[in-house]
Amino acid sequence: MKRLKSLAAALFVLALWQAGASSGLLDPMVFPSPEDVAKSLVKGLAGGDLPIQILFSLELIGKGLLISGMLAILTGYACMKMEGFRKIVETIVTLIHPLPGVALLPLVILWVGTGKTAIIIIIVHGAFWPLMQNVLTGIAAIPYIYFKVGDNYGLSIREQIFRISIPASAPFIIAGFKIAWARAWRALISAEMIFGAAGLAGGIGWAIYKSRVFMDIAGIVSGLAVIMLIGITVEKFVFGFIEKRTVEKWGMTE
Amino acid sequence: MNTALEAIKITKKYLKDGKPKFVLKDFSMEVEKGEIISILGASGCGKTTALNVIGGFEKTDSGQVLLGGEKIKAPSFSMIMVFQDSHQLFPWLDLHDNIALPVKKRYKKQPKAFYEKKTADMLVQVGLEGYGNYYPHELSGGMRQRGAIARALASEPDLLLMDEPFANVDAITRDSLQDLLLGIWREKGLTVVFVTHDIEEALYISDRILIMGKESGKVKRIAKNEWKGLRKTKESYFDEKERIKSEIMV
Repeated sequence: MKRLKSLAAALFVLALWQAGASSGLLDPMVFPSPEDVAKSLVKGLAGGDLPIQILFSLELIGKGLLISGMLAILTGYACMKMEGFRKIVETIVTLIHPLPGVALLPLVILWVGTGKTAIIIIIVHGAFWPLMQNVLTGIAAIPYIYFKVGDNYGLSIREQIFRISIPASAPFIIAGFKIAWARAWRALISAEMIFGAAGLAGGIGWAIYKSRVFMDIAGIVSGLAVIMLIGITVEKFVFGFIEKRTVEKWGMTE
Repeated sequence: MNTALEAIKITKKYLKDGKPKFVLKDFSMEVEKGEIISILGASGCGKTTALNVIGGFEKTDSGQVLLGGEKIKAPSFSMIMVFQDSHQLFPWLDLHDNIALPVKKRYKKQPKAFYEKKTADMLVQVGLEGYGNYYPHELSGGMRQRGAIARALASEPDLLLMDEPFANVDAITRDSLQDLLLGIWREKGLTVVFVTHDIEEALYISDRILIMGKESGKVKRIAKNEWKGLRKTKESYFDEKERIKSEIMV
């Protein structure tokens, strides 16, 4: 029922958009009709570079999130064991978290040039800090009794991390990854637009930017649509899937 | 009788406005093998601290705890604690896995059937047969405490330490949990140190009752209990109850 309602709402907006375009209210030079966007999308997906560009962008995001995730969990555990270290990390997170990734670009370019590595660094910057913040909050929220039970049953350090700390703070870690995922996209698109085609055909950010040069308005909007579609898909299916199998199943969602 | 555990002159204090405040002062007790001994006192009397010290969860300023003659320095499988908190089972493991975890840690490199049998036996023992694949949040508070008892007993500790384990459930469930404990005790001969503030509970389950005063952190009296397994029956039961009440309130 909820799904049907969401679908109906989406169709309504789409119909309104099409009506605006058909009636001439929307100038096709300013904003394309849904039909044009759909055509451009099909063309890009079927014959163009779009699939490669999507994969290229996803690969960079995947790598960036993987690095951020491992760093955050390791740092988080070190923070749990060392009070002083936690204070330092908290200070660094507070200082660097608000810094826009684009502001770091000049520095990153001087360090590693303008290739894939530079984009991944910008993504990690976007994703790591909010994730780290959530991991720290999550660790602070773990009931002490779990560690007491763990001590009683002689769990090793590795088991304390993987069998207690991570599942016990799972709601925060998942929420952190959701924010990290959104931030990673922003970081990726801005970095791609500034760097240009860092790979063979570049990524989606580059595809959108390039369309501007050819006045391909439908191309620009179809690029935006791709970003939105991937965003919704990952939110609903990837995160939805993970939540259903972890925090929802464990009753840890409240 | 056979002494399982000895706590010798345990003292634990903290400073309040520059003056020492005693949580425990010269706290001594012996636990005989196969008995249920209660530590009974009002909130804040130091009974939970005493239990934590016995289990190796908390350090003392002086005194020591000996288990079979060995000094206790840290928590271990020899003494397993069951807490008051009805969220002590890990919510991310189903009941079966919660119970299997300590079994696997204690008895390493055994065939799978060994773990399965031990876990299944424990589920039956606490009356939760058929609930192995339930997650803790799908169980009632009383069932979760049964699960916690099963998890504690699964690794066969020398001593079971229980910190007001039935304080958070309704009266009817509490009665059935007390009966469960007595039932397992009769069948398996457990040794239990049981912390409670509930006089009737102490009278019902204990062989002996250690009574603590309200603030000094001292042991008032260790009494042999005649009412184990009996619910309030005679006049003298109420006399004993009133007497203990007056002791723990000062």
